[in-house]
Amino acid sequence: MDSKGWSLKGSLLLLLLPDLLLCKSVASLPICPRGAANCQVSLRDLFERAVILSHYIHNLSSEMFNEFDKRYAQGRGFITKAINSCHTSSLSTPEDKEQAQQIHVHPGVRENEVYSVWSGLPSLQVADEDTRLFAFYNLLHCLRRDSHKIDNYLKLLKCRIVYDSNC
Amino acid sequence: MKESVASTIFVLLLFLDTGLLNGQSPPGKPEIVKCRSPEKETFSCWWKPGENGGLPTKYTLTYHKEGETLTHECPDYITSGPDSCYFNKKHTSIWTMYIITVNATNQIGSTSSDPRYVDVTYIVEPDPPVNLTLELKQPEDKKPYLWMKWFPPTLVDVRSGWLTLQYEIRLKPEKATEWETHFAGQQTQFKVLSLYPGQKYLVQVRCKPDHGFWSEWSPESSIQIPNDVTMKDTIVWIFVAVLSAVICLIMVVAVALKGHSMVTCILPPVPGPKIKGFDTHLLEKGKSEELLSALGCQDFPPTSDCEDLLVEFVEVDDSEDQQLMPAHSKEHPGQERKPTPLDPDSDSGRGSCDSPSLLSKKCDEAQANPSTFNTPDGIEKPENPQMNVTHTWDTKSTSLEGKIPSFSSSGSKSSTWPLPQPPSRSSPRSSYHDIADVCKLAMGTAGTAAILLDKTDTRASRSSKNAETGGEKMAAEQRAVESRHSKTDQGAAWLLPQEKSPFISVKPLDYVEIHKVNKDGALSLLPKQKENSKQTEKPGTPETSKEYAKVSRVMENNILVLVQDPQAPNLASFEEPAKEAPPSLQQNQAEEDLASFTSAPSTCGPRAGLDYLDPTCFMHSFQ
Repeated sequence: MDSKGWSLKGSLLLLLLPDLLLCKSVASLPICPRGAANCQVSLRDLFERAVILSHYIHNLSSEMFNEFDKRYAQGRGFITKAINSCHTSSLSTPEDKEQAQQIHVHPGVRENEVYSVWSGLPSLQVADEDTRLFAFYNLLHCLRRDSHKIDNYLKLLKCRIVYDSNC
Repeated sequence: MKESVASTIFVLLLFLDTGLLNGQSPPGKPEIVKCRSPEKETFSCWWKPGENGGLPTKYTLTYHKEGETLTHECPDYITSGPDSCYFNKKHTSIWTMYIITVNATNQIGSTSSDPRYVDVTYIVEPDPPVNLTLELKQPEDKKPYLWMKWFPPTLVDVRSGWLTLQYEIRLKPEKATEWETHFAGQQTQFKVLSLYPGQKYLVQVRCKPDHGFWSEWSPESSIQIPNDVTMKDTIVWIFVAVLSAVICLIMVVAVALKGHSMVTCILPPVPGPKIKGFDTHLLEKGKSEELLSALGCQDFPPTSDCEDLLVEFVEVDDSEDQQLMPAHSKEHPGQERKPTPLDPDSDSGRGSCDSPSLLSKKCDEAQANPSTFNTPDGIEKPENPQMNVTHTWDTKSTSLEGKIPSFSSSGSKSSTWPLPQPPSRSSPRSSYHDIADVCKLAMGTAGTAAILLDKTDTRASRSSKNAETGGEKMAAEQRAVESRHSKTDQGAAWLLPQEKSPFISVKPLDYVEIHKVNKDGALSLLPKQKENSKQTEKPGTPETSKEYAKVSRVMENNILVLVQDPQAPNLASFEEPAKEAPPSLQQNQAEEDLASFTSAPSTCGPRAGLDYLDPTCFMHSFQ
């Protein structure tokens, strides 16, 4: 990578570092101590914990995208090209509230175990700056969206299961 | 054909030219200002039109979604106002990119705006919270606090968890400029504890979705905080204030009215050495009466006893010392006793003025302290200078008092009694003591005399130590007496000479030795047969008792008034200091028994070899 790529990497690491520290503080309390065989956590506590984490992750993702967009993607028209370019687009996910409220978790159903492998890593290491930058842009854009989806779904589930749709 | 084409072109050009000539042009490029979603279920976009080009322009909004190819037009241009497009729930997809374009079309042409990429997920901006209610809660024994409650905006679905809202409130006193902001989290109520009483507070609230924009502030809600001070406290404070004001007023008035007297009471003026109406010239003239009157000491209590004592001692001779033997030794300090009987030359029973040669000298010195004499008198009885001496004598019977005035007043003359001793004479102090003793006895229980006696002794002893002259001693004694006098609150202004003090003209007279003076005021006189007879403190044999006459008073013309001692046969009474009140020297009786002193020598005549007055001379007149 040339110097610009290094600087980009460095800036991303800097962005991630405080977030990781925060993440560590949030996740520093294991819900079950190590080695505990019969650890039972209430669903309420579990959902609370999950929502906190998802919320935090989306906040970080959103902050990263905005920083990157402001610094590296101005005037390049990346957004035009980032349409329908997430590797997770193929996954059928709700698109509005009605569809989202109809999410049901059925553990064990194979259908839900559809993996979409991310193959964008080489794009992040391409020599061409423009391509590389777009790869980063696209990655951050998709990360932002997907983390929001997760956060939203978990909150919906929490309110439905824990509070009986009465948050 | 060519012609038709040319004509068509010509017409078109004409149109264009006409349009250009008229200033018309295609519309300007519109611009999408913002797109917002209030609840993440619908959204709206607003655009800003460009120049219309002079012709009516029609705006259209077209969009297409991410992953689709179809282009749609805005379903609702009205709901969100002019130049807006409202997408209802049916037309809204979340987590999907919208590519929106606004087209401006007029007669000439149309212009399209730049496409705007909108993802509804990230444009959520809710309405402000609603139904903000304020309540002032005042728990007992605690400070009151403000409790506020509100509701999320109506459109937002919080119950299902589709949106999670966080709230923020702000408040301020009505007239303040800065808001006090508090983050309230996800709760829909809040407590504010730090409130200024008596203020009207304004409160607002706003909300923010978990990943969106802050809403506008809600409309202001106001509440009045009541005052801290209760009515009861106010009344109490008003009462205290009024009371303080009244007290201050009273004090100010009191100070204003009686400020001078108060100052005098607190800080009494220091008596200065000033004699009221004293004219030093009077002394030079030697008019004792005038001097005394000037001094204003007529009302002094010098009882007749003391004066009589003084008068009794008529100057005969300055060669011999006359002694006044103190009757009792009990009240005298031992040391004072000793020199008296031992030293024949001491004028233990006499004052300092026993020598006419030194009289003027001593009396001059005495004059140095006339103020000391006079001041107390002036202070104590300035209003009764004309008081009869006898009266005062009766009441006070302070013999010593009379003695002092005689010292001072007779400065210019030979003293009546006792004459100042020459300095060579020793122990003048003893004379002072004796005099004091006598007077004390005469007074009886008069406390002042006792005090005076003691103090005088002290002073005299002190002065004697310093080997002062007789005059100085006299002065010291006078001073001591005066100090005593001033200290004693009793009207024993016995220091000052009185107008009618019996200053006997200088005559060589015999001395009568006063053996003692009992409480009744009776003088026990001793014929001065021997020098050492002074030692005898006890009354002599009954033989001698008959020779004693009681001096009742001294009359104006220096007449010694003797009275028959009612207790003459009782010798014991002489020895004991009577503790009873001094018997009233009955003036009436004395007058009857008046024996002219001056005539005494004519009738009795001085005995040969004796320098005292034989009281037997008087006795005849009594009878």
